[in-house]
Amino acid sequence: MKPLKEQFLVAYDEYSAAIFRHIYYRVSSLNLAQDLTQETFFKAWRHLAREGREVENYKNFFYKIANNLIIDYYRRKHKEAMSLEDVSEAQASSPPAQEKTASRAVDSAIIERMLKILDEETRQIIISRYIDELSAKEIAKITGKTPNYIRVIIHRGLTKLRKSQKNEI
Amino acid sequence: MKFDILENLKTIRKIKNLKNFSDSKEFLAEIRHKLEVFIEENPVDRFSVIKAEDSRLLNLERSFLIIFNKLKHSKFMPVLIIALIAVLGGGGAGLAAQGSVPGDVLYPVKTLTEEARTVVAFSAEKKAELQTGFAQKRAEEVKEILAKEGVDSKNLGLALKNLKKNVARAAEMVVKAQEKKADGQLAKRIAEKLDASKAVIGEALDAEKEELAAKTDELSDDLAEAEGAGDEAKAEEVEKEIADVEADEDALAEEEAKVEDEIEEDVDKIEKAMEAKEAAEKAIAEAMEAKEAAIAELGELDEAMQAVVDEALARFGDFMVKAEEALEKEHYVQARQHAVQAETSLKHVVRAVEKEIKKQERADRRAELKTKIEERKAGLKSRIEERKGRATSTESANNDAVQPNDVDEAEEADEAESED
Repeated sequence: MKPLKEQFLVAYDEYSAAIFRHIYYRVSSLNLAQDLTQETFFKAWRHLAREGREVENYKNFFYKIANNLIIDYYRRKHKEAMSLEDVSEAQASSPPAQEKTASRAVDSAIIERMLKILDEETRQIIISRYIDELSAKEIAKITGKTPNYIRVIIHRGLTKLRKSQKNEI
Repeated sequence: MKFDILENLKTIRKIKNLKNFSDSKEFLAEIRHKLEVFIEENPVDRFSVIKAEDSRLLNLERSFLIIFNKLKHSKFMPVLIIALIAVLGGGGAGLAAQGSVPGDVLYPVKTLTEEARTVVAFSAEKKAELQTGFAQKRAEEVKEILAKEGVDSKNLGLALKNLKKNVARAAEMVVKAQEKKADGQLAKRIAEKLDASKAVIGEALDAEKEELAAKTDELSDDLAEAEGAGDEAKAEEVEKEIADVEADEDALAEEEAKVEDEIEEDVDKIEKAMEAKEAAEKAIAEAMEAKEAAIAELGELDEAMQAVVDEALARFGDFMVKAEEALEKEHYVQARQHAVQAETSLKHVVRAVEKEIKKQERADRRAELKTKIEERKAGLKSRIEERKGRATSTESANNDAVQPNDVDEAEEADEAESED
């Protein structure tokens, strides 16, 4: 068995890019995504060092921490006297100029739709399923919901996206 | 509605495009550096390591394994193992445990006996054979659990997990044996046995799938009946039940895909240890079989669906041409890879199409039943109207309109009559 530290760094190399991408699509700000990514891995190590045991599934472990941080972030933001509508509107606007480079190769229309018409939870689940390629079961573990619930949300989300696509044409 | 799945696939493809997100390398390297410093400053708590180590095993297994580990290097070890096998494997609890499945009290005894047998097995070959045999047992367990408890059973996950462990160990041992002395025959033998185990699981899953499909059909009929009768509460209830069964079907398909994917990796290792040429030929033959099975299974399709399948078959053909070419050039590893790619590409499409066909069939059936019931209802209504007409003509002095619930009552009475 490799020492915990090495395991952790190997897992970092394997998953950090995906975690960063996931956070970026959820908060749609590059600076914020960088901060939250860093926080995710620091938190992960603190947990490992305290428990002293390897994690069975690093991928789920990282996503879970990232997810909690994102939820915390939205809660804080909400408390700062910002209504939900403001949040969704702020996210819906296209990414600022300096962030364009990061998403250059990306279908920005679909992002905008995802941000505009999907609620936070559905967006998280769809991003987890198709961009991060987690299974419904894995997402269920991360979010604490049942796999069936996740499947239903995915299906509804996709249908919603598809329909909005049609309306635009 | 009909091609929901195809349309959704397009959306999914678009979302997947978002994966091409780069420009994070520099920044991630920076965090990594910071992390390394942070780790030095916050080392692992030594005490908790010991605590964590043994909290992982089940109680029964743990107490045995503690003795096991303590004596591992002592001269009493062989004696202990022989005694253990005599006690566990020879009779009493051990014998009773052999028929146990995950979730049973005696199941840990079964796995422990297997563990002990693996430890005493002398060579890597023998170990590989043993693990393959155990994998076979896991396959039987999966079958039994599916038949008894269905997909929802949490014990199913345990059996599958253990199966994966057995296959992984078998693969490891084959590779190890190979390092000592190249023996393509061992790998071939093991691969064949594992194929048989995979087939057992495949059949069990198919049986469960059929059962679920039959259940959905039945519920579908109930739904049409309820909708036709205008019983919304009942319809909603049945719809919920259908959603549950469909979710089970999805879960099953996902489980199947997962098992396939996970085991495939280890089977890969074993096949790599086979004679390269043999492995390539086997993979190509398997891919061709998979294609025929797919065509037979899907049967006749409507145009849109056929187009999807045709496209998939064309892709399959491309891979196979590449595989054959590579085989001809004696690039066996490549040939095998292409054949495997061909097979997987086909599998995914077949799965999606199968699901869509089932959905369509159910919808058609429901619509058919619904029109039948509606026709019946319309017939009843006109008869009631007729009767009403006669009634009003006789009581022409009375201006009261017939109340809606009167109609309902008449209808109900009529229904009861017609059912008699």
